[in-house]
Amino acid sequence: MYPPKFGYVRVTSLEEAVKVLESDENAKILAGGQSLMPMLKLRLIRPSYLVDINRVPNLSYISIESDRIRIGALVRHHQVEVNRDLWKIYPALPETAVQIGDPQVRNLGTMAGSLAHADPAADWPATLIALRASVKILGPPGVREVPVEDFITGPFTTVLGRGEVISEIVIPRFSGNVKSSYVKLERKAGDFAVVGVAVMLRLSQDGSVEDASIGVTAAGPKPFRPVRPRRH
Amino acid sequence: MLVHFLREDLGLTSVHVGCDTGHCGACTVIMNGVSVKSCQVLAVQADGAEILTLEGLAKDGKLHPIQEAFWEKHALQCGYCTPGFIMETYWLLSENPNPTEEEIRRGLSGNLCRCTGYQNIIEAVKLAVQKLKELKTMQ
Ligand SMILES: Cc1cc2nc3c(=O)[nH]c(=O)nc-3n(C[C@H](O)[C@H](O)[C@H](O)COP(=O)(O)OP(=O)(O)OC[C@H]3O[C@@H](n4cnc5c(N)ncnc54)[C@H](O)[C@@H]3O)c2cc1C
Ligand code: FES
Ligand code: FES
Repeated sequence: MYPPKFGYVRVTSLEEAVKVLESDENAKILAGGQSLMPMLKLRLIRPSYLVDINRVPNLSYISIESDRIRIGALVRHHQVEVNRDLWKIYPALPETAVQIGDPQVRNLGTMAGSLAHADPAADWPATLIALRASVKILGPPGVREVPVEDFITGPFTTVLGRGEVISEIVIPRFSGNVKSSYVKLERKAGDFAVVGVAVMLRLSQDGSVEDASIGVTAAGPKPFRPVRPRRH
Repeated sequence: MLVHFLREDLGLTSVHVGCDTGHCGACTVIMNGVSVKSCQVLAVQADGAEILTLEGLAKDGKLHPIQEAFWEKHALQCGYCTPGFIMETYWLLSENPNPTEEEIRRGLSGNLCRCTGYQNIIEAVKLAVQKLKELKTMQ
């Protein structure tokens, strides 16, 4: 299978990517390519240009700060999978990463690409909704930040407008005793989820639940936060 | 795609096309130190990258320990999937030189084999781990 003909631009900064995307609405960012290449080969999309951001420097960071974690647009699933600090702070993140596709897919695929692609069965959105993460977007007018649950608006649809790119994902950190996990039901290892559920709990000193946050994927046209989880 | 460039322009025909949709792993190569499916990467993306294919494993006419292990454990029948399995094993063992059986199974979950059955492949990876360890202590 061969993809259709398209142009190829390699950019060296996200600002440059924004300029190309602004000038041509049929151009598309190329990150890990693990969703884009299959779509191109099946001719589901026909972009004018692929704007390759893989050589943009300093986008592969997982920056762990006291009140938040910032994940750069080129962080691959595999980087999250092997990050020891994340296993301690938010095990839900690496637990999600290891359940995506297979090792080769995880070596190239990115968290930002997964959000932008917005497959209704993608794993990251459930976990990022549970962790109350938001997407930092760079566009022609500047920077804006949108919560993940509002970022994805439907199947393969997001709030990204013309010329806009994801620059990073921001995950807040909470004090105290925080637990998190992601559970995925799949037919066989590496498949997309039949359903995926992520949970974050904040426990008070006596072990009771102070705050619970849940994200669900593959159970509707878009990932969502169950609004009124029932108490038991 | 990179796989076509490697096969048709460079003649590196160990890199096989099994599915072309990113599912079978027969086209696995090492690009800048990590395993990728070369049917999912544009040739132009690899401009300037270091690529390792099966052709680059044997040294001075001697098979790489992973290749020897696949041979000794009968980890192939038709051999179509084998270069992909060997390259993925190469990456797996470079990341984790001492994997458990579970880690081997997970590590090779992106590669499909339609005829050997996976048991001999897992045995071969275990033998390769031994061989690489022995080689290290000898050095
Ligand atoms: C065999 C296989 C199995 C898979 N299994 C799973 C699975 O189990 N679970 C799962 O969740 N996913 C799965 N995936 C998808 C995988 O996670 C992809 O890596 C991910 O969906 C897209 O990330 P990418 O970096 O590869 O993006 P690309 O393919 O490069 O891009 C995808 C889309 O996002 C856009 N984009 C990328 N980066 C940005 C950015 N910074 N700003 C704006 N737009 C951007 C692109 O223009 C494109 O429209 C699988 C893929 C394959 C091939
Ligand atoms: S040919 Fe590339 S994954 Fe099957
Ligand atoms: S040996 Fe024939 S497909 Fe694996």
